Amino acid sequence: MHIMVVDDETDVKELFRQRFRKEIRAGEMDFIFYHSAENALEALKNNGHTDVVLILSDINMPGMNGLELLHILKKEVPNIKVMMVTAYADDENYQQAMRYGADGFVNKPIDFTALKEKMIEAAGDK
Amino acid sequence: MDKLARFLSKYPFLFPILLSIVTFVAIGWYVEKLARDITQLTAFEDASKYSTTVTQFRNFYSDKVIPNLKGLPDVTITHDYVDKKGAVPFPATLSIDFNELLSKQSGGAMVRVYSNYPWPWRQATGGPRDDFDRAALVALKADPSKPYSQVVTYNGQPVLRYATAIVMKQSCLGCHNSDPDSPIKNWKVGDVRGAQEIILPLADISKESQSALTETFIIMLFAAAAAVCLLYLTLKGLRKSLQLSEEVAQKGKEMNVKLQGEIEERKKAESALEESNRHLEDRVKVRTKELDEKNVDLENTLVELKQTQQQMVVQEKMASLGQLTAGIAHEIKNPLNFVNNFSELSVELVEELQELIGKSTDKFTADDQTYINSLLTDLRSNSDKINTHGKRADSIVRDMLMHSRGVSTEKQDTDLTALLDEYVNLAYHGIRAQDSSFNAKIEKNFDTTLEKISVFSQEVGRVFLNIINNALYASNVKRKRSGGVFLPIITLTTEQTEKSVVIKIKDNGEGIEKSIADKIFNPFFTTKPTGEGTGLGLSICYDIIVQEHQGTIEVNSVPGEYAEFVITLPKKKK
Repeated sequence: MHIMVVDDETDVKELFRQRFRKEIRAGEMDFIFYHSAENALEALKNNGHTDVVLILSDINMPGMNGLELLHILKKEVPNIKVMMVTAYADDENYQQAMRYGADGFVNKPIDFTALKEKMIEAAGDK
Repeated sequence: MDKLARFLSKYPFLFPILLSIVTFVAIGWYVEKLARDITQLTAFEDASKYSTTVTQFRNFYSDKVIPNLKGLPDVTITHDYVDKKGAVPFPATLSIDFNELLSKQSGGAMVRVYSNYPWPWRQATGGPRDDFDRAALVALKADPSKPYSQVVTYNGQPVLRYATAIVMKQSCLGCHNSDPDSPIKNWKVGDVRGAQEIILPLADISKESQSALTETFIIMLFAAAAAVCLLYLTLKGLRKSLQLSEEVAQKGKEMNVKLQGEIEERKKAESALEESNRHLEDRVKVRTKELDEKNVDLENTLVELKQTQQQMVVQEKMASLGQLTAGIAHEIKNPLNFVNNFSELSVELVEELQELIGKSTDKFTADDQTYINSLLTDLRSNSDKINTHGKRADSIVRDMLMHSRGVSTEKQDTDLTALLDEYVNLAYHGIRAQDSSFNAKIEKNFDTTLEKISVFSQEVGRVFLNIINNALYASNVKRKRSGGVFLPIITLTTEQTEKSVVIKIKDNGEGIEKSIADKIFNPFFTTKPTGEGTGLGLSICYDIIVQEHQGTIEVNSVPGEYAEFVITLPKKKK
């Protein structure tokens, strides 16, 4: 399962690597990280990444925010699941994300046990 | 009549002038008549005297003279006596001749004698010659004592004809009954022989009387004119004074009318003034009352305003604090994400490391092994502590965010009694889940008729939960201190007034010290030990009740005995 993570915090990469160490080693999951929505979109267009099934995106980012990204993704590549992972887990953001068709909404600090379940659930829907 | 009166009043001199003209005419006429009458009367008297004189002369002659002559030889008594010796005239002849003489001498007066039986020599002239003569003879024969007279025009001028009877006397009979020429010879004494007539022209007499009368008339005229003038002047004066008095009267009348009008106006104005005065007093009363009411209203409003101001200051503080809090909280969440997750990972990593080292104990000395184990234990413990405090920070941040979260749900009509009942159970079971030894008595004084009011029920529920939790916590502290003997009692009361619903939550716990009573609603203020409370609970409660529902939240307490929170929510819908 190829997963794309979009977050302006670079430590996210390390966190995910360690948190999903077992899954990555077992070859069950594979993560690719982008630090901005623009980079992520560009990579999707240029490099194909046709194997990506799930995108985890932060909301509050410099430049394009996560919700805008979600909006575009759902239009351009509706088959890719998108989950929002944010510290700004307020009602407004949640409702907006749902309107744009988010497949999940996770609060920061991330509860990885819950996140894994949701990821598998979302990807399994595919 | 009115017309006449008006006409007369318009020409006031016309009437006297007319009257005087009429008077003059009347006087003129009367003077004329008087002159005529006087003339006639004078003429009559003159004629009478004349006639008497002539008669007496004749009688004297016939009575005193003739008898002396009669029978004398050389004396003849005859009508033809002129120029004859011894001839004397008959008395009648004498009188006729004497009359003729007189007639010629006197100014116009004539004396005539005539009879129905004239002597032969007087046959031509001695008989009656006109109607007057004949009428006179008839009248005198009928009454010889009464003269017969008439004013007539004779020979073209006015005259008085005055006829008297010539009566037969004893002295006459001798001749008249004996004379051969006598036309009648059987005369008796008293028989009317004929008439003697005096013809007296009136012109002279009338001229005299006329001139006298004219003088009188002129004098009278002057007198009358003077009288008229006097009358005129008097009238003029009268008229003037009348006019003046009329003018005065008119002016007086006008003045009167004016004055009356003024008096009426005054009266009206006075009554209007009284009316308006009364009105004014009433209005003043009403106004005063209104003002008093307004004053009270204003005072109330001022109090409300002050409260609102206070609230607004608090709200503003809270709002800015809220925004800041939200910003900080969100930003803190990101690092916390790493702190918590990496610390957890570190624990896992230490565990893995301990496993690996445990498998290869042979590679280390016993001392090293012990040291390594103690280091790993500390490392794990540190990571645990980092994780614990990270989670604590997270919970603080979560509470802080509740302060500033956007409310998306809508207000709904809520039975606050039911809500309170629901949350007291939740809180009680919550604390029992943590501390199974906890026990408390819940007293409920609920107003079953409590009106439903429109609130964010979830928010108000959180307020109830928060305060009840505090109450349970406070009384539990007291219970623990008493060694479990003390029985916590939570008293819940719902009431309502006309305008609001009141919820009271009372516990018999530790109470609140006065020194901190006004700080309990401040954010981050807490009396709980570190880690047990974030200091945001009551701050959030205050926020919900005061800011979101325009209600009030107050606390009454006697330290060591009880604490009571009184929440008042307005009934009006907003």
